[in-house]
Amino acid sequence: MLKYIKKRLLLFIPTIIIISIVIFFIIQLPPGDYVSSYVAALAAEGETFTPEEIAAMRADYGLDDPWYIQYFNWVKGIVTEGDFGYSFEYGRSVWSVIMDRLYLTLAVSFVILIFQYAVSLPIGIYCANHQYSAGDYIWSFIGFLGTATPNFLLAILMMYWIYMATGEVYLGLFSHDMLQNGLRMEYLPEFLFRCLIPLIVIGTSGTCGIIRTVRAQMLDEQVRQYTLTARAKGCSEKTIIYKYCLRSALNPVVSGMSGSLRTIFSGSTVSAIVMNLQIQGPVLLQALKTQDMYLAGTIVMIQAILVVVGTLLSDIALAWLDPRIRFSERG
Amino acid sequence: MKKMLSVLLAAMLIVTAFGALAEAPTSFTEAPYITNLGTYGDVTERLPVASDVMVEDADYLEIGVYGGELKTSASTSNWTAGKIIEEGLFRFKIDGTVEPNVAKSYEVSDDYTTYTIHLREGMKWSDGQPFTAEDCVWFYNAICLNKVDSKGVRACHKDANGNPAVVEKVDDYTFTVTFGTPKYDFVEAVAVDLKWHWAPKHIFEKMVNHILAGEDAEALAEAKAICGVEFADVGAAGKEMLYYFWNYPGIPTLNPFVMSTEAGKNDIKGDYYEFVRNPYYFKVDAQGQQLPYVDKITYTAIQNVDQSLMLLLDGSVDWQTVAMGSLSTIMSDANVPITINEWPGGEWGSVTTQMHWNLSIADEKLNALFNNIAFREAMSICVDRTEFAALFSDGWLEGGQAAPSEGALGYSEEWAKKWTEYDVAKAKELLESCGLVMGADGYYDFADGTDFTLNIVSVADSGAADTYALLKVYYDAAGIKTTFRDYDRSNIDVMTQSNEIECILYPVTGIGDISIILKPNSMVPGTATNVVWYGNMTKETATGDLLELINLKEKLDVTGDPAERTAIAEQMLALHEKNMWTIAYVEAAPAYHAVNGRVHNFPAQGVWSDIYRDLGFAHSQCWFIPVDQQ
Amino acid sequence: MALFRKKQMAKDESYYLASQWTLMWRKLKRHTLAKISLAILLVLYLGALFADFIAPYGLEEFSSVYKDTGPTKVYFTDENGKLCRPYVYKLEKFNNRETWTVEIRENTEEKYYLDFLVEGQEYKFLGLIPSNLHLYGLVNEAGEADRSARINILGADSAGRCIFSRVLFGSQISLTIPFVSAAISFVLGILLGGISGYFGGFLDTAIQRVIEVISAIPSIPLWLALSAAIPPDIPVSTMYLYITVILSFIGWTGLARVVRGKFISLRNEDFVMAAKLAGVSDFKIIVKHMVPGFLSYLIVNLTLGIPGSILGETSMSYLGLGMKSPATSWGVLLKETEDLVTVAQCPWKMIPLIFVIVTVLAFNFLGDGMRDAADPYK
Repeated sequence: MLKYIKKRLLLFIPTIIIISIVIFFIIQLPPGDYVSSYVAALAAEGETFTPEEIAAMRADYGLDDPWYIQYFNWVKGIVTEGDFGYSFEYGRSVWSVIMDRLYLTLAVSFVILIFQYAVSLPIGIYCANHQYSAGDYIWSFIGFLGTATPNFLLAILMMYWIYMATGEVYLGLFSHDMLQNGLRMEYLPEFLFRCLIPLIVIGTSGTCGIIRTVRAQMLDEQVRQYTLTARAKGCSEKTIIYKYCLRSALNPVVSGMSGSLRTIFSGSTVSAIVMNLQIQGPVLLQALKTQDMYLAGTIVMIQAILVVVGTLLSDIALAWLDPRIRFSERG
Repeated sequence: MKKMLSVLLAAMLIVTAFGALAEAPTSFTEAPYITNLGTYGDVTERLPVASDVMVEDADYLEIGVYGGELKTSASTSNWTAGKIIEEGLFRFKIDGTVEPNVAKSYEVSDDYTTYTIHLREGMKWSDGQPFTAEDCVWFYNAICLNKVDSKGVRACHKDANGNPAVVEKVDDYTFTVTFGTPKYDFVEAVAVDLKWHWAPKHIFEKMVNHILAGEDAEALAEAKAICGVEFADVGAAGKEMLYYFWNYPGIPTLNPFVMSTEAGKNDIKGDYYEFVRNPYYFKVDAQGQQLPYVDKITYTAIQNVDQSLMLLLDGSVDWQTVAMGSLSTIMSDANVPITINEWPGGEWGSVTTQMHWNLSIADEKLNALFNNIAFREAMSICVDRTEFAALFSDGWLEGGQAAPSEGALGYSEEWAKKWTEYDVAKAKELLESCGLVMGADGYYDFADGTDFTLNIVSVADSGAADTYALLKVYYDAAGIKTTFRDYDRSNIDVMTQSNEIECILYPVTGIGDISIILKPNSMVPGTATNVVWYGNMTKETATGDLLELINLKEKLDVTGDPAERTAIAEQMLALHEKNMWTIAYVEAAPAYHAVNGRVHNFPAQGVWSDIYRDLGFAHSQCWFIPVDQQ
Repeated sequence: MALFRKKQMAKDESYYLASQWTLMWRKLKRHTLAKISLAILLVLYLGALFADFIAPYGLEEFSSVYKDTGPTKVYFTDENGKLCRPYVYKLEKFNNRETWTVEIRENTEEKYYLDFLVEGQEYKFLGLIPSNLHLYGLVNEAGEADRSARINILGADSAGRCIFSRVLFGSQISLTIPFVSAAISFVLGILLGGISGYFGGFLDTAIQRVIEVISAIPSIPLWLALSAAIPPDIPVSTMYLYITVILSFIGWTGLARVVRGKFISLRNEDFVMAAKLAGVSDFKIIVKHMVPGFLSYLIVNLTLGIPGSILGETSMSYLGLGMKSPATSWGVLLKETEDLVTVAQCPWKMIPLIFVIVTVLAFNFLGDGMRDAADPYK
């Protein structure tokens, strides 16, 4: 196992180098550059620029170099000084922009991730154990309703209904008063109420996939020979389900988890919009759209590293879950 | 839309007549908010000397009461908070003339080369330091001339040869601006191009000196000491702190509200920030109460326009400029009283329905076609404007043309209605007169049999895709084959500069503005970077009436007499009317400001234009909230 | 008696001799919900096939009067309360500048009657036979087809178009293109994941690294670049197809990892070993012996992939890439619902959502049925 991990770690560096080149190339691929989107955005607000000003800005930002020179300079900065470059949009170092949002993003993403699994695993197991019962159908229906409804529509619908019922608009996690006066104990009930909409929206959007996967896997495992053997030997149904079936049923769930790490780092853009939170997701979206090269590059790069690490972790977790994999990796 | 500029003009004349009659207040009072803070001393000391205090006494204003906060929503844009609190050296009145604002008065020499600006004696920055001519002169000499704020010398400071003016201090409250050649429109140009003319020297002198000496590290340390932000380089620090100065805490301004200095409430890109009242603000109301009335303006960040509409419904935000399509929803669902204020804008027709052809397109066949007036007429009359306008505007607007709105310079009913009669048969005749021939597929081809396709582009998310979907039916019926593609705003700019665009619907910069004299950018080739109808045309490549238009603009620049200037402007507009280089299908859309009923003194009549500083024209310092609704 | 026995035997025999597929089909027929789902899907696909005929109005039949109006009220009784030929009233609109609201009224002076096989926009029936007959529509007092009044059974959108017609036309895209992308991802995912997991070693390492690189690619700039590269004069539906195909070449990585995980755990099973020893080709082992072992996961993946694709198009249109009106798909219709004005004033615009949900559920229940049917243990 250790040898395997060591081998994987060695492959890490070339993979990351290739990924970084691909990323940088793709980010600058759409026509235009940061200066053109900056000028256009300000023109929309009434500011105008002369062609000389625009050319000077481009030279200032080093945007008149070809992309591989820009890439080389960026990587040089990272390797030699740990400097991830400079966000044109924010006028600050990329690192400080990322750090500004890191904690909130991590907190929010973890809560969502835990919420999604905490909700969907039991439901998936329930549905498998009560296949074709009313409960199974109801959960299927709710799950697919959530998947098929655009998240933003669901959020507006809920906000609107709550407004029609209470006369108050509950937008985002924090009310105006909370933002103004800081978080005080007296706001706790309202805060919890405000969490309701995002939890429902994000809950219904992400959980369906996990529920269906767990359900299908459990159903597969329940009719396997080993389950029958265990049952014949008199194992309790609980042991069969949780010790045997669930364990192998989790295989695809864990394989799919490698992408979750990246989501934790950036937070989903949807949840940011629904909860009206300033987390990494929308910053990345904006940076990609305006070609704020170094900011976008750094965030995507960190995400990619997390995907690679996540893949490694999920492979290790898979091996732990499934002795068959463990033994084969050893060889 | 029947509320027209001319009505406003008349209203304004009455206002000024009455304003002059009112007696200026001699004793002054302050907000309880400031009294309660207890650290600021006598209000009279904080205001300029009594004779130099500025009195806001327009006729529509009620005398207000102090207190409360104005709530609004924000996106992460540089100008969100800026325009609404901006104080310029001069400011526009509703009739398009300019009045002194931070300046007390000005004089101009007979040859229009030297302007003498008088400031208000005893006026102070929001940190209590005296505001003097030194701040104005230093701003120009240290910052503009050296381009520290990234903008450098603005057009208002350049003479006819493009040479920068000389700005000199006369005494603490007087400075002069001297040009090499006569500068006839300096005052208007300052209001349009520059707005302010100062920076707090006592705060920035050290930082700017470091920047000029090339001591970047010291300059950045100084920048951080001032506003607490670590900038990546001196270029960013200069631009953000000296150009977008109101967005950062710790930078004194002359505005009614300044960025809070409390952590967590002063990040313009954060979830929440607030602008609090400036205790040294230089304006009072007619009874001598120091403005502003409200204690602060608070901004809650939102991610999406629908979120701000929702917040409007229950009174979580006090105002919002809304789209026509949302009016009905707001008015039927809000549980607070909402007033809709309809402000006419300066555009020629609704920009979302404006069609611009690239008159300098490289393709010879298209070039000949676009420059043929018959083609433009055909494109205009092939659309049923009654039905189209009703669909486009939900019935609020009527069909129209790209022409100045009623009351604006150059308006004529004839122009406003030119080529608006729906006539497909005539459109087809006109197209044939341009040499197009009907092909077997039911669409016109060029005379040589090659396919004629009009490739229309637009800006993504502008709503133009919907407009095009409606227009396409009419173009198809007239035998004009079209394609449509929308691009990100920045790509449109790139394409404009490389002369790739054939035809654009809803351009980045719409043609037309409040005044062709003040801001000819979008109405004359070669003066704006992002107007498409002339492609990359310049004086060298322009011909015919377009060249004439450029020549007239140059003549306007060197003409002093107001009557003569108007005459030239009228000639320029006449060229537009004759040639119709641009068409539109629907009359100009006004801006609709939805304002919570608790906010008083929001002007029902206004003009929606960047020149007039958009919502800044509503003078937020005069808004107030009755005590029982605070 | 003998006859009966013979019959019985034949039946048994046919059961034992039936192919795997016949057996599956038989089991599927016993699965009520799957049957219902199949029927619903059949109806939806027929609707897509005959959309031109069933839809009363075209995609470009705009109407300012009917803009943002709800489902048309159909009257079955006349003024005296007597049963009569179904009719509707024409609508009128009035902009109230005092209250800033738009008022919609029925003009009881103008009656239009519901009729079947009414003349309307021309189209080609099944793409072959030119026709202008539509299943239903309105006629005036004189019995002539009249389009000044409309019958929008599901209401009208913000350009006055019939939402029911748009749903039908949209299904032509949304019930077909998502399959292309789901199929490509599916095949690539199983194939590459399978190879990776089955063979292991260098191939596995190489494929896994490729997956890591591909899943690190940010999709937004790629979409923007693609949209700039595709010329504007091709039809939007074709462009949508192109982009879907390109994106599905990126979208297979998740499935591939899951398949790989499954293969690693299955490849040392006795039955695989047995097959190997028996000289079965690797490809056959993968497709015939290993893939059925986690068919249920694959079916779930496929049934979730289709709503994913339908919705994916919605998010693409945010970047100016998806379908654009007047071309219509369910994604376009869903996107048009995502604002406050719709939710507050025009809830009928959310009806297309029901079609999406029904389709997705139907696919899912059919998938359930198929999985059960394919399961030899049941």
